[in-house]
Amino acid sequence: MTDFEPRIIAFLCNWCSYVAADAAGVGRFAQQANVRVIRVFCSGMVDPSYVIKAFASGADGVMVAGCHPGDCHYLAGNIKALRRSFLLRNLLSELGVEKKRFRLAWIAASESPLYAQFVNEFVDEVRELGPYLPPKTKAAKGVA
Amino acid sequence: MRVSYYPGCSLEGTAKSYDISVRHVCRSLDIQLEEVPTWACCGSSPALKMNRLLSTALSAHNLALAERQNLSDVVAPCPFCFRRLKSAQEEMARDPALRQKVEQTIESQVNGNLTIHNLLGFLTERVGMKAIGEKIRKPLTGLKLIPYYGCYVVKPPSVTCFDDPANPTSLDEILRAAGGEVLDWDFKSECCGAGLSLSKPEKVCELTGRLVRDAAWRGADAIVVVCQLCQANLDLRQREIGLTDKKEYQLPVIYFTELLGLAFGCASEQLGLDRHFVDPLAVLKRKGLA
Amino acid sequence: MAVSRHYKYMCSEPGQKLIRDDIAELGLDHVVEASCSPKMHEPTFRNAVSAAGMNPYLFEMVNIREHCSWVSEDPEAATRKAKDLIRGGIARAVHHEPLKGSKKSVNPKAMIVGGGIAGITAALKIANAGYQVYMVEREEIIGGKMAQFDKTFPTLDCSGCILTPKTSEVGRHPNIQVLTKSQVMDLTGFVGNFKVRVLQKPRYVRTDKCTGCGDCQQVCPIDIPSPFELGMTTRHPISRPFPQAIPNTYSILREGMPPCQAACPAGVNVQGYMTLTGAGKFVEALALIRERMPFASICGRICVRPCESSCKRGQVDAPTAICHTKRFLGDYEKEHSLYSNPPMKELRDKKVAVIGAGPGGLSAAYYLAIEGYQVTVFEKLPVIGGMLNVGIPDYRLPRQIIDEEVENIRSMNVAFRTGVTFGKDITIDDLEDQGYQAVFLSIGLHVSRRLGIDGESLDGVVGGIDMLRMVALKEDVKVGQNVVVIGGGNVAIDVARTAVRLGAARVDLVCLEARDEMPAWERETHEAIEEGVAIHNSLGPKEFVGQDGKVQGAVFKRCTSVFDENGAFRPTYDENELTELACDTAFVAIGQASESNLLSNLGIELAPGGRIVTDAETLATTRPGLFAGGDCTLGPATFVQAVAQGRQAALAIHNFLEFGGLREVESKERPIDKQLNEAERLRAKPIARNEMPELPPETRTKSFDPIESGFTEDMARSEGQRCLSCGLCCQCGECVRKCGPQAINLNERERIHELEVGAIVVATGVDVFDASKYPEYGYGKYPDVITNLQFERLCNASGPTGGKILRPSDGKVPQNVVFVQCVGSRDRAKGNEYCSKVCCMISAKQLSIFKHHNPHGQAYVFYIDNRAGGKGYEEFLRRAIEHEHAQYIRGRVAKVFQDQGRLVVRGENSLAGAPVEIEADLVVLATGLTPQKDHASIARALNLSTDKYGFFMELHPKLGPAETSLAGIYLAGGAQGPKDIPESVAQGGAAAAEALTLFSVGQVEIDPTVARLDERLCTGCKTCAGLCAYNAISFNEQQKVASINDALCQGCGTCAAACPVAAIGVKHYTPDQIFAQIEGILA
Repeated sequence: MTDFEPRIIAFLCNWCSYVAADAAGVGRFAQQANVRVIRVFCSGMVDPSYVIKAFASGADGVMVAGCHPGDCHYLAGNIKALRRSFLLRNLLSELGVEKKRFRLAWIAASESPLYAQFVNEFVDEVRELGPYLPPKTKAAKGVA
Repeated sequence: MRVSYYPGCSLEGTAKSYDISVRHVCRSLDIQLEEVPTWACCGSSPALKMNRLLSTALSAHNLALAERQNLSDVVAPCPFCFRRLKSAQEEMARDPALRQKVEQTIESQVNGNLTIHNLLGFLTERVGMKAIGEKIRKPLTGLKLIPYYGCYVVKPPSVTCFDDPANPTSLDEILRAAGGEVLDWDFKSECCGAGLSLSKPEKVCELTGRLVRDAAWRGADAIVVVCQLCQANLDLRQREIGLTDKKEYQLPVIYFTELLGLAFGCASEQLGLDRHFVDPLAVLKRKGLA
Repeated sequence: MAVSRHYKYMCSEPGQKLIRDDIAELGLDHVVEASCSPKMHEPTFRNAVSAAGMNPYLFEMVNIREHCSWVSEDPEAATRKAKDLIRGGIARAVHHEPLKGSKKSVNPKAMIVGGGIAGITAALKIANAGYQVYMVEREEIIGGKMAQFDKTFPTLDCSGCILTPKTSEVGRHPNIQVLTKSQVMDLTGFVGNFKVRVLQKPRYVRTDKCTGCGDCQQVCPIDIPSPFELGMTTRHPISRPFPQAIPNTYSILREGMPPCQAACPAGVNVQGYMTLTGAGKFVEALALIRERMPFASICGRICVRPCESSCKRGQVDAPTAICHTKRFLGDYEKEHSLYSNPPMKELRDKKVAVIGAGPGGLSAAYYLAIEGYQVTVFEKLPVIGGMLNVGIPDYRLPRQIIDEEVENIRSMNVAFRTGVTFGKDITIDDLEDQGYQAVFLSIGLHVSRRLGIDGESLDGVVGGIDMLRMVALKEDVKVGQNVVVIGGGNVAIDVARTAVRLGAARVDLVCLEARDEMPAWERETHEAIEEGVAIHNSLGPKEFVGQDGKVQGAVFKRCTSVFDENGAFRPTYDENELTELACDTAFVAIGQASESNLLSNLGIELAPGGRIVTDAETLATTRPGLFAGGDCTLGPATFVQAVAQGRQAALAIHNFLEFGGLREVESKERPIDKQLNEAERLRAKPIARNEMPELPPETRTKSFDPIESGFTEDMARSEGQRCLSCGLCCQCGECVRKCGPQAINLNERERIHELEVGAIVVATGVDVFDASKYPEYGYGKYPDVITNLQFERLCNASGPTGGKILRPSDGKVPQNVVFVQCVGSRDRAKGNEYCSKVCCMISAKQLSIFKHHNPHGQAYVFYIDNRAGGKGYEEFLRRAIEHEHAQYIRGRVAKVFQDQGRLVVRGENSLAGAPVEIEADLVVLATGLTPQKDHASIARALNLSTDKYGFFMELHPKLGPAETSLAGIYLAGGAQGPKDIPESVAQGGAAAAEALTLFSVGQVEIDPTVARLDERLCTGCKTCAGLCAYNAISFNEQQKVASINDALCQGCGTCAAACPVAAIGVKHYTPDQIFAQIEGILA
């Protein structure tokens, strides 16, 4: 377990969180190298199936980051993402995904230190949870 | 209400009128003051300058004594005692190693769960302006007062956690409730020189001089204090200040509890008003208040 | 994979050549680039592959720099991450399709938001290139902060002299349309095709008619602190900030409708008449009242005063005595015989009948007569006034007052016919036959409700309303010795107090409600108790008991509650707890009812209870030509509501007769906030509310003489001065009357402009840090502690002192001026870590101006560093030190205080290592530049991002200072960050160049990454349609599938993510592509 390095997929929206991630790079805010970014145009573009696909393909954690409510470039796409997240969480728990493995965050374009901090904290949390094992695999391995 | 009462060395000695008036005021407010039995010096000076452990241990010794009284609150009129006791309790809570050492030194355990008040804070926050207002029998009508908090009771705010350090108002409120006319000025919490009175008297003269001159310029009948060091510095040096200006200053420097006691209806003889250098009784008699 | 290359600067020309050559030589059909952020260089590489003939959407860019190499501290982990990301990019690229964006033409019009120097520069450059420009400016004039400066550094040019040629040019430019008092509400569309909605607040003065003569200012009765002069002097609401302002015409500052006027059912301009009264202009005040309320003397005695309950002065001490003042005005006019008819239109050949001479009818008659209609009022009773006469006792409203008001109406050619009962003596058909073309019914509610309990028909049990009417008509009313009055409202109180005056030895008033629930006014109840009326609460009538047919007592049961949880009237009783009161007379005053039998033949709709149903706007009944208002439609209402409805009906009848119906709904002015704000509190003059002199209880019960004797002239005047002028301009009309060119229109309303533009430049400028956040500096406490901008106004020749630098406290010339730098800048504790860039130079400039005015004066500057980075700046600063002998002290200021009346600045001299105190005659705080207070609403309206302070974010801090991440929206000036004038001008030019590039290319390519629907998969569930923020999705009912308009679609993907069957995908971001990318990353 001590060698376990979580792999995390991050869906970042083009207008806010992706810019924050870029700015975190420009500002050289150190981050653990566990997060893999996929650019979407809006947090509302993230189909729940993408999140499930990510876990099914071997991700240990998934994060979706969008603009703060009220600031969405497409007016309220982030609100729709929020609404979807409730049902998605329930679905994920059916699939044995612990609550802490999926995060929805609001990060504005100017909040690059926040982005870096969020990434680092999320990676630590997921590392503590250990690797994600789908239910069948868990049963096969006899893990509780 | 019953509280532990820690008078401190000054109130036993030169600041006796503070102690006397505090007891009267509390009696009027139905507050029972239970003096901490066999209390000793709090260690605020000069111990604080010479030996940190000694200073903390002295305070801890008193805290342990107070804890044995089984009362949750301790009231210390002297701002120095107040700050030293409070700091000592907080330092020991933060630093277990220090606590252990101190407890070994004083051969006693300290639980560290007392609420330590300065008198002004205790009256305004715990007793409340309403209760104080109800006891006023003889308002101090026509008395122009300058409220002087001194620096120690409100600074540093992280320790004292009381009122606004730059522009405090609790004393103003009490004096207004007592019927006095409270004058505004910019030196509410400026330092008077405190303990430098013996080592650097010219500095004290300079600092208190500014306070006395401005108070006089604003037409004050008296300066009201909450600290006995301030009282001493302001009371004792008015002749010196006057010499520099070729003027005579006769501005009484009165403890707020003395005035509050008067407003509660206590006789002026009972409050220690005759123990000041600059006589307050003359002004009070002239205004028909004593 | 055909080839993999590594090159240090792929974005450079050699790098791009590599790509182009490979595509050509190797016949590549996809390219994946792993380097920096696509937000930086995706366009660069897309162009590179296009140039080689490959569709740009077959290109994928992977970010391994900002997200990877620049932030990772572990090279091995970073390399693994980069590999994963590249694998993902390749897997995704496989699914790429060639896409082509459609081209849309660009609308070659620009909008400049903000009329400061940056905005002016941008506007002129674009306009001079031949394109149309809209300039949207929030304030009444353009020029921004520069208009407030005196001189500019380092040349000491007069600011106005270099600014006004530019503002004049903007003002006269044929291609520039300036919209002042305007703000952007929202925008839709995309680059080249924006639709912007702009809200323009009224100036109230026509720019094409105002000559700038200033006569209006002379007669304006209101003074308010001038925002342009930063509170150092006052201005009238109608004013002009300075003579060279553009637009050069006057304008009026009006906040909105004050709460008093908004609360008045008749819409009386309360602030207006109180202000005029305060200025001693009683006749004008009364004329203003009459625009909405014809009966000042009556209203001023009996009104329920909703205005006073809303008066903001009430949040300071006590509301202004609006009602008493109105009474004074009405009485004053009578005493001095000043009444004359209002201007009336020429007599028309049309007749209108008014049924009922109560307040509603009298009001309708008044306003109809003004319009020139021939009015006849038909009244059932022998007296005129309705409830005024037969419901309200003399001691509240003397008969004489009513008679005098009625006389005034008679003199307006209104005819009265008393003793005529509508429905009996004259019918609606009779009226039609007699030529009346419209009828207004205001018959009130004159029937006294009955309890319906045993014994109610005993002799001595009378309806309360009947009792009051009989007393008023001097009919015989038997009032015994022991009177019981049942009811808790004003009528019951009136009955009780009248009974006292008619000699009853004992009067008991019994009601259902508890004392604090009683509907009667507290004041009236209090006066009744003073006069000896005994009040019994929480008792409900059970029955009357009598002997020989005469009442002898009334039995009551305990009322346990009056209202249910929903507040509905549903009393509950305890039948076991009974109380009996002996009485020989009982008056039942439990409510008013309608004489609905009179209305039965009209064929109009009646509500349950007999109230006439009317249209809310026109007060028309269901019978054409028949209108109704007052109690008979509203239920028991107030005098002022009846009068309001009378006027409303008169207007509606006029519209009906003249145009056949309602013409235009009057747009209402926006009401202001009901909460008192600091500026209003500071305007409160220290005058206590004048108390109305009253007769003592013992005297007044002996007669029906009026209880209150009225305000004197001095009292009314002082009361008028208590008004806080919440609405700012009070619309009193003094300026309108004075204006020669008739340029003022107080009825002007807000307008919304819908403008179509192709490019927008945001140049909204800066605001100044609020120095009161440093209480230790005494700003706001000491008048001689001011800010840089206020000092600038002192220097300016059109400022509050005519250009003389004088101390605000006593007008003396200051000898010692101390400048305190970095107030609100470079201060983490206050949340502003940045440097405001210009304050060092401003203070150096200001001390130089000071020295030129007062060569013997001495200036001190407490500074941290001296930032003088522009051309000529350092030299200028040196002059200030060497030539003007300014003392620069390196250290921060701890406190500014008063010592024996003199201001002292205490700071640190860090180079000397000691504190220093300087006596100052004037202290100038160099307050930092901050974003505008409304930056958040501007950002929302335009979809802009802001940095953590509120300045708008540029596209790239180095290479894109004038662009934003939104195509077509550009930035200029202080809105993007603190800067000086030359930088603002340069940036204005840069933003203009961006817009001009767009216009000259003339076309934009619309991103093809929009949503696409596969109709074969669509199940018609309609989930997507409601989600689209751009209304791009509609539902085709015939084919039962959704349909996407890709001109409107912005490509956000919300619909795609929501589609349960994945029938919608966003081109270039399809589920296949994303799935592939995920798999690639995690492989």
